[in-house]
Order: sequence, then C-alpha cells, then structure tokens
Amino acid sequence: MSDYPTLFSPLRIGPLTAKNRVWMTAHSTQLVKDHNFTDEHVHYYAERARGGVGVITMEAMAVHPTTQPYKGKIFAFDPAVVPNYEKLAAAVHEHDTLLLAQPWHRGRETSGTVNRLPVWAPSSVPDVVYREMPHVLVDEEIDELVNGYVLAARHAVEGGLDGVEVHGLAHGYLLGQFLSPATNHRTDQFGGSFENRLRLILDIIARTRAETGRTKVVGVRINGSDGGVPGGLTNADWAKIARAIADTGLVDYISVTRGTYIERMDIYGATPQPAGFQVEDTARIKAAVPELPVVVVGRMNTPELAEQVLAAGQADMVGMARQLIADPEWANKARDGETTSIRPCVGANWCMASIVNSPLACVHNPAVGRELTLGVGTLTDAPAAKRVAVVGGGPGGMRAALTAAQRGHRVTLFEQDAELGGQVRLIGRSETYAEWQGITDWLISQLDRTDVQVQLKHRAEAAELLAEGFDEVVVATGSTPLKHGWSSLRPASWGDGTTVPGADQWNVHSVAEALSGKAQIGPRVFIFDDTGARQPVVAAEYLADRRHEVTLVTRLPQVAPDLEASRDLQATYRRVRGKGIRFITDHEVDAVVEDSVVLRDVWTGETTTHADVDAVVLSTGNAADDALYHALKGRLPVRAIGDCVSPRRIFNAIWEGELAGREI
Amino acid sequence: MPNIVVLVKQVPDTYSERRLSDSDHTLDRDSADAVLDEINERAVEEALLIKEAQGGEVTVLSVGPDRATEAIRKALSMGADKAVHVSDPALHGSCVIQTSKVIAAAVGKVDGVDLVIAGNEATDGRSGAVPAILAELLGYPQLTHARKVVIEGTTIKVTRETDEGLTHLEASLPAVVSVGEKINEPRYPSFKGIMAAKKKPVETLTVADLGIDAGEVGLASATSTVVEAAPKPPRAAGQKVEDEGDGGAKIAEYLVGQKLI
Repeated sequence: MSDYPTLFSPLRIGPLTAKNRVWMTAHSTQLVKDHNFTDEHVHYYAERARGGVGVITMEAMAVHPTTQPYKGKIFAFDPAVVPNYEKLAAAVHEHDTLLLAQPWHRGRETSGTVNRLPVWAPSSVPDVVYREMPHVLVDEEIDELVNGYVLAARHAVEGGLDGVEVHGLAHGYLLGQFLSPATNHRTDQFGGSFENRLRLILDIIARTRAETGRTKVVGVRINGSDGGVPGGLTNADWAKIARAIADTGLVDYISVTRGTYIERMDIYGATPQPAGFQVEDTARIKAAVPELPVVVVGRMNTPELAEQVLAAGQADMVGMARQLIADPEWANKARDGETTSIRPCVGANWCMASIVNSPLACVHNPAVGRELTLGVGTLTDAPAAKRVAVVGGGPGGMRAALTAAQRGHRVTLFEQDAELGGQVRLIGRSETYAEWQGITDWLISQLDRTDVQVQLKHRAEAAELLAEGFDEVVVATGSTPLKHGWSSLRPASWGDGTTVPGADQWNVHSVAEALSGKAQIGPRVFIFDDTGARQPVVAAEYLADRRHEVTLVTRLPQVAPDLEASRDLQATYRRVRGKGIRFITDHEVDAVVEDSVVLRDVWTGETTTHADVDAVVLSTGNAADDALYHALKGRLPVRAIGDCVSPRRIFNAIWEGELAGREI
Repeated sequence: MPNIVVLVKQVPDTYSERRLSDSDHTLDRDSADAVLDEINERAVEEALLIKEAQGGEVTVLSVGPDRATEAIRKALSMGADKAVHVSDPALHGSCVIQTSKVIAAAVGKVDGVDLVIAGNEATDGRSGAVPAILAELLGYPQLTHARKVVIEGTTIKVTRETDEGLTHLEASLPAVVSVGEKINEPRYPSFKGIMAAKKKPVETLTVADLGIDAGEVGLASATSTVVEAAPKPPRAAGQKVEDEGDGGAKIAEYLVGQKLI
C-alpha cells in the first residue's frame, strides 16, 4: 500500500472519476502561438499526465478579445481551439488523466496594449498593477461575455475535453470584480445586494452546464479570501458564495485559491510563504460545501502535507502548479515511495519571472516547455563512456556532472570550497531564502546516487587536468564579485582599473562577503546596488535580521525592480521595510571617506554626505572566472557553463549544465 | 565609577570543523577559524553598558597564545579601554585551576578592580568553572549565570538563571560575575571603534611577569588532562515500531529496556 493512502485513492467528480487526488491547477505556459495551442503544449501536459497527475486544468483561456494581458493568450471562444483540444485530450487521456479547460476574463486586471481594446470592469476603478481606467460594462457587453463562456464550454465538449472550470471569480478577475463590493459600485441588477453581485456568475454557470450536459465536469474556481483588500471579500464571504454556487446543483467541484493583484504573494506565494498557507481558509470553504469535492492549493509541495490535509478532510484534492513544473513526476514518485527524488519547488518564482518575456521555465528543471527533447526519458546513454572533469560545484557544475554521469560517463567533480552549492549556498544563509538551498540540496542528493567522484577543497588547475588524462572538461568556475563601486552609468570607469574613491577601503564589502558571515560589518550599513536584482535585498535582510541598521541605495528609480517579474516585490518591500531597512533611490556612490558615504543624485548630480556609515556593501555585478577555460581551450575538449561564461542567474547555470551534460 | 575587568577568550568558530590535536589532545588551534567567544562579547557588552551609565574603565583580560590579540582587538573595538594579554608558551595545555591562578594574578595587576565579568562557559572547553575558581582565589563573592546585573554604589545585584529557576543575589563589590546568553545583545564594533582600538594599550605579560613559576602551569602539571578524544558518532537510525493496537506498550517496553523509566 502507498505511504499516502488518501492521496492515491480515486475520487468521483460529478460524472467522472479522478484516479487520485493530485490536481494540476491552471497556469500560464506562454507556449501559445496565434492564440492557440502548440505541439509544445501537448508535450508539456502529456508529461504531467504521464507523471501520474489525476486531473489537469489547462491554462486560463480568454472568453473574449478584451482580455489579453499579453500576446500569448488562447482564445477559448474561437472554434480553432477544437482540433488542438482533440490532440491534447488524446495525449493526456492515454494516462487516465482528466483534462479541463479554464475559460476566464481578467476584467480590469489587464491592459489594452496588446488588443487595442478598452479593459472591462463592472465599475470604473483601475487595477493596482495595470492602472488602466476600465470601460464600465453595459448589458449588451455582459451578454457577449456570457456568450464567450458558452462558446468556451461548447468547444471544450467538441474537442473531447472532460469539462470546464469557470474562472474569473478568483484573484480579483472580472467575475470577482462583480462579486466584491469593493470593485462593484453598480446600481443596476448586477450591483448592490449579494444576489445582484452573484447574478452574472450564476447565469454563466447555468449556461455553461446547459452547454456541457451532465456527462462532463463543470467546476468553479473561487478565492478562499481576497487577502487584505480594504472592503474586499473575506473567507466568510467566500464560504457564502461557495454555498450559493453549490445550491445551484450545477457544479461538480470547487477549486479554492486566494488573493488579488493588491497582494500577489497570496496568488503565487514565493519563499518565504509557508507550505500549505491556504489550507485553513480552504477548509472553511470545504465545511460550507461538504457535498462537493474541494481543491486546495498554496505551496502544497510534499506528499506528507498533501496526505495530512486530505486525511483531515480539509480538502478532497490537492492542487499544485509550480511543484509540477519543477517535477512532472511528483505523483508517481510519491506513489512509489520515491519521495527523496522529488525535485522540490523552492518558491523562487523563476516560473513567474520567465513568462514575462518568454515561455515558462523553472529555475532548476531545464526541461520545462522542451519536454520533447529534454523531458523524462529523453536522456540517452553516451556512445562511449568518457572520463569527464567538471570544475566547480555550484548548481551548473553539479547539473553537468549529474547529467553526464546519468549518461554513463565517469565524472569527477572538483570544488575548491569545503562544500558544494556555490552561490546558492550563500543565498541560503538568509533565513528568508533558506528554502532556495533545496536547489543544491536536491542536486547533491541525486549526485549521491551516481558514481560521480566529488573532490572537495580541491582547486583543479589546467596542468593537473591535462596530466590526469581527462577526455573532456566542463568548466563551471563561477564568478567573483566586482568591488570597484562604479554604477553602469559610468561604463568607461569599468575598464580603467579605478574604483570609486574609497571603494578599496577595508569596510567596503561585496554581497557575497556580507552573506558569508566572515566580513567585519559594523552596526550601520549602506548597501549600494546597480543590478536591480534580488541580491542586495537578500544581503539587506540578512544584515537587518542580525540587528544591523541597513540603508539600501540604488541608482535605479526603484529598489530591486526585478522582483516585479517574480511577483514578490510588494511582499518583499512590506517585509524588509517592516524590518527597518531604508530605501534611497536614484543615487550612486560618489565616494567613501572612512565612515562617511557621499551619494550623488543621478539626475541632478547633487551630492549628499551620510555620516557614521560603518560598512558599505556593493552589489555591482560579478566578473567571470574564466581563466581555467582559456588555459584549457585548444588543448582538450572543454566547455564553459554558467557564471564563468557570463555571470547570470541560477537558471542559466543549470540550463547550460544540462546541455553540457547531454552534449558530451 | 566601577573599574571593570572583562575576561575574554579566543575560541574556534563554532561554524568551522573543530579538532583536538593528535599528539596531546589539546585544542588544534590551526584547524579552525578563531573568533572572540560569543559569550565574551556579551560580557564586554555588559561592562560597556555599566560604563556608559556610571563611568569607570573597562579592561579586557585574556590568557591565550599571541593570536588571541585578534579577540582582544575585537573587545577593544567594541569600546573597552585597554587590555592585558597573558601569553606564554608555558601555558600550553593548562587546566582550569592553573588558568584561574594565572587570571587571578593578572587581575591583581589592574588597579582598583571593582568587578570582574566573565562569560559563564566558553564554547570550546565548556568546563564553566573558571569564574567560580577565580572568585575563590581572589576572595571575591561569586555571582554566576547572570541574566541581569545592577550596580548601586558598592552593591551588586544579580538575577541568576539556572535550570532550577531564578535566584536574586546581592553582594558587595568587588565581585566576580559570570553572564549567560540572555544578558544582552552585544553591539557590533563601529568603524570608529575599530580604528580607535588599534591605538588602545595592550599590556602583554608572561607567567614570570605575574610571579608564577613556569612549572606550575602547562600540560605537565595540569590537574586534568584529556586522555582520549573521539568525534561524536553519527546519529544511528531510529527503531520503527508498528502500532497494532499495542503501540503504547511497545514504547513503554523500549523505554524500560533503555532504563529510562
């Protein structure tokens, strides 16, 4: 019997049966082309079905042209989706997995940039993120909207899907805007009373069910709470809404999530949102609709937690998206007692950041969106086993060593430090980001299963690698923090060997030195950032947690703007400002004079002197450590990966490590 | 205006791998990063808090090899006024009694001492006995395991915290106090403090300077020595008991078997 008996028991959902309690919830993949599915989609979803998922709800699809946050949105109202539904259904049904479509409209939480159309909302209140003044829906447009949901349901049935999940109530999307008195200021039949605010939704549910008949599944996605929105819907409000929806007798399940764009960490909870952070709210929804299967989400990462929540009756199905992005085989591994090989979602939200400009990716699963070529079962045995040296035990080096070893090569991994992990280990020293260490912990645990020889405290040199007779070398030697202190507004200074006056003082450190815990850092610290990335915030929080008084200076107009993409900017600001960290934007360092720092306004050139600054931490990028690569190049087959090519992100190191491991 | 002596010790960083040397089972000081013991930072902090409130002078006293200067400088950079460093190869392998004798003699070199503050236990030796032995040798009252210290004129009041609970102690100065982890949060040395520390006086003494014969200290005449040392064995896997309705009885059986109940 499985270690997780409830998790792997079947469940009836309306007319159909899910083989287990694992539900892959909807998430954008950005694999879309011409508002339709691609073959990559088929491989992406089939991989998760093959991995043992019971039910898949595919990404949210537009019911109307007025909801296009970015180019890559599928038009569920367009019959062109039907042939692709057929392909997807065939690929997913092969694994006894149910497949649902998720029609939705974002209402005001989008912009009209892509479609050149006004955004729609019940009332003229702009969204906090997109800030576009919406058009107030009139009756004819409401009819159009309902018709879009009807068309979406029709196409789902025609394409052989198992049903639809009505979306738009949760996360403050259009139907949620109607539901919430905070955003619905109408005085007509769609505004005011609870019944009026619910009217449109009940109509959509009724029309959807009429379209699908009773042989297909119809579900609804709701919030368990809007989070801290003033005047927004509470857990009790949503329980009442769930009850009213259940009372129609038209719905087969309710999937519960949380949050609106006012606090996006409620929606896409990244580290340090705890595992299962939505369980309590969801359990109260479940209590309100005991007769309906209820799906819980929110960092439901481990089979232990899943089993516990299911066995306690807090929910009936465990929904996850990011954990299944990280490891499509989660369900099969849990079922087979292979939990230690599950690649964990560490809540880094690289998935969220990636879809801003490209198809979906995962910080440590390089196969996402490329399942056909890099997915499960695509690794081939090497034609001949070679002796491979991998130099550098950061995430990229470990990934290269692991993949090469899995293909049958005899691999030696050299690491100059006493431990594997590279810069991920430094980030992991911050309590807030300790979970990120799951990236390297997982790689280490997988290396343990191979015969890779790991040589710690060993700085491999070119002569020795040549003498040892390795057939190939992967150089993953990483990078070294720059400490010249110049911002990128002064490119000429980056090449002339100079530093900002005083940047060579003993009390000026790099982020890596600050996080190492070894630098002598006084009580008052200024951190200067030129990157816009997460590192300065990690260092600031690490130091603030250790009672330092921290001021974060950036030459950008905003601290760490990169966090907007990973959707944790708001939550991070709230947390770090709450820890007393001060922000100074639009300034670069003019000079460090003993314990004074002179800052220059990047727009006016005006300088200000800050006294009693005991230490300065610079976050101005890294320099590639590529000496070994150049020493070996031309003398034996050698590849460089990760930061030693150009200092970038964890994702790039692992991605290049995977490719190198496959190429050898 | 109390004159305070703070005892500080350089210890191997608890984050690094700590070893005893193979030859004589004394601390292998080269194998690990050396730092000022965290409990001593709290002792220094307490002395500085008293000084900031009431004036006086804070002298740091350390017995240890030359390298211990780094720990002394850290205490000085926090704000202590001066230091006494007893460094002598003869001290290698000294026991707690020998060390306490040396410290007592060194305290005697500081004029008009009102208060000696120590950490209650170092993270390396962990004998936790030096403050008490020192008080005996100096003939001062001992107020150990303090979580709160108040000086009122020539009276010292200490809240002592042990596993047994809180005890409120009162004594006349001069006295020896040892502080526990909850006494305070030590400050970080400021830039100015670090720069100023470079110029603060450190008096270096040998055991002969203290009027102690080299034969009285060190490994050869120590009252206690380490005979053998082994690294802590890795934790063994637990024993899994299937509950077939008799889980409670099985657990009780196990505990009885281990002589725990």
